[in-house]
Amino acid sequence: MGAASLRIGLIYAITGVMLLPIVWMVGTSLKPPLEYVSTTVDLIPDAPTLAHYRALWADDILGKVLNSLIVATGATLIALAAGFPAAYALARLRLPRRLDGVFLIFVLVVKLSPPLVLAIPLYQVLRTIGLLDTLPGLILVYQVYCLPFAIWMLLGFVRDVPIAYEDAARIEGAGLARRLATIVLPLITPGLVATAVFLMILCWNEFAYALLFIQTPSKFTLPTYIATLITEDETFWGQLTAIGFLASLPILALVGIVQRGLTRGFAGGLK
Amino acid sequence: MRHVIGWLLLTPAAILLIAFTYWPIGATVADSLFSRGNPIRPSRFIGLENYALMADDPIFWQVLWNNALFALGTIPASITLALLMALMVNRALPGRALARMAFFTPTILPMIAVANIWLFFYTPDIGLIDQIAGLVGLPGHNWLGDPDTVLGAIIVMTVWKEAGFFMIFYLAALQTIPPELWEAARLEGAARWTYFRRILFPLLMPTTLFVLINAILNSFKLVDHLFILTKGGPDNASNLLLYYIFETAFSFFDTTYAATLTVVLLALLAVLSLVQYGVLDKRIHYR
Repeated sequence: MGAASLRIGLIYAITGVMLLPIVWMVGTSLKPPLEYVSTTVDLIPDAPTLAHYRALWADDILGKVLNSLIVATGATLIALAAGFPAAYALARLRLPRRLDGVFLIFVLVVKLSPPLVLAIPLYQVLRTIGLLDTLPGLILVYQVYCLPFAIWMLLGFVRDVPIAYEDAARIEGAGLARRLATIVLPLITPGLVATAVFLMILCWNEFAYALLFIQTPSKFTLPTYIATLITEDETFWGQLTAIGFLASLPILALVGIVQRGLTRGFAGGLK
Repeated sequence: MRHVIGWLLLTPAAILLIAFTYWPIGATVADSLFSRGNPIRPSRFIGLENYALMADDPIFWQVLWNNALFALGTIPASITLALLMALMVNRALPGRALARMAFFTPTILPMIAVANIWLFFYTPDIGLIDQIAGLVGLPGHNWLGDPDTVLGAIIVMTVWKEAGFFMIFYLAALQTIPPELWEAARLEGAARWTYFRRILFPLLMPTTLFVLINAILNSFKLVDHLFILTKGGPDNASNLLLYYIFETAFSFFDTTYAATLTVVLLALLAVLSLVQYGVLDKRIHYR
């Protein structure tokens, strides 16, 4: 007994507190309604049921998962496609009058602003280009979140690529496209993956824009669909926790796979 | 030639940024100078009148005050917890991978999903908080319905959600600190606490500053949970500036006043961002 066991006890206590809501969410999603409306603590269901999951299935949950997936993938790909060249230019090429620095500051300022503040004018932009209430429209407005983030993260990874490699290739006569394809892209692949994972999570979880710019229920993404399950007269706790768990599952899996890359990504972005 | 290539590489990003960020920001600033239009009286230029209106709006001051309380309640707690968690999982121990994952998990889950869990936690009588209170014989309480407890309830949830995010930055920083430092300090007879206070904490200062500014910005950016938990109520007791902007624009349809509030919020964040940029800059020199 001593400082060491005290420390370990504290770690497990915090682990418990951090995990409790998640364990509780899974437990509740498997409980019949009579069981979860209780005044005593009980994490494990006595009579587990899949009824809430079946109800979600009947309510076309698959369609919402698909919508979320389309939006997250589309927004991530666009952000990477536009963000990588920008990050490369900012890391490697000097523009006159330090305009590259100005550009970077502009990117960082956007990254630090809450996207919701742009909702009103974005609504008008989407209406003008006829993409209001469409998934492609949502993919485009998600660039407000995704693009600055992609540039910021990729910048760190590109800077980590030793410039000597590229100089050597240039002397050998390799053009920019060739250098990008054979040197830079292969070397920052882990960074690209970490960035992609982060962007996917960002879009998968996004709520405010999806709420404002999508009105047709069949086009709802998961978070907006979850919000519709809370109504004035009845809250479907079983279904809410079931869908909360389903929405969390892919993220937990993704992060489990690339945990190391994410830590490195943040460290890289910080530099 | 190199400039041309540079511009070409920046063009796709620049187009997206201008169309979906800078043009909208410009439109917002312009909107804030106009009166609210209606079918009979179209919107007209009124200069800074909206800003004068804002200065007389008691709800504006209330949400700003709430935001300050929210920041004070969440920031020191999240940062302390984040640092504590990072220090804990930075050393070998049984189950470290699980602990690290557990600390990080709340921060990556969809806010809407976890807000629902906490909504149920805070539900009177059948929620987990009241169930636990019941174990020790305390009566049930409507945590989110009581103006005195609602902001506190939201602060607790926010600390749970964001501490893991800040922990990542501390972990990354701790990994750059050589273990020999502790060895040397121990040889000199320093206790762990002294080592932390005199060596580790000062070395982590740049990270703490970075996290601090991010936490301040976050306290203005996080509002998704309000949609689920309280909608700013009861009686604006949990309303925050960004949520008030949303309400003004999309519930009261007063887009020009919402634009005014937005400009104020953006100005506030811009100042904070510039401070952060300065801190980042210093951090690079520090290395």
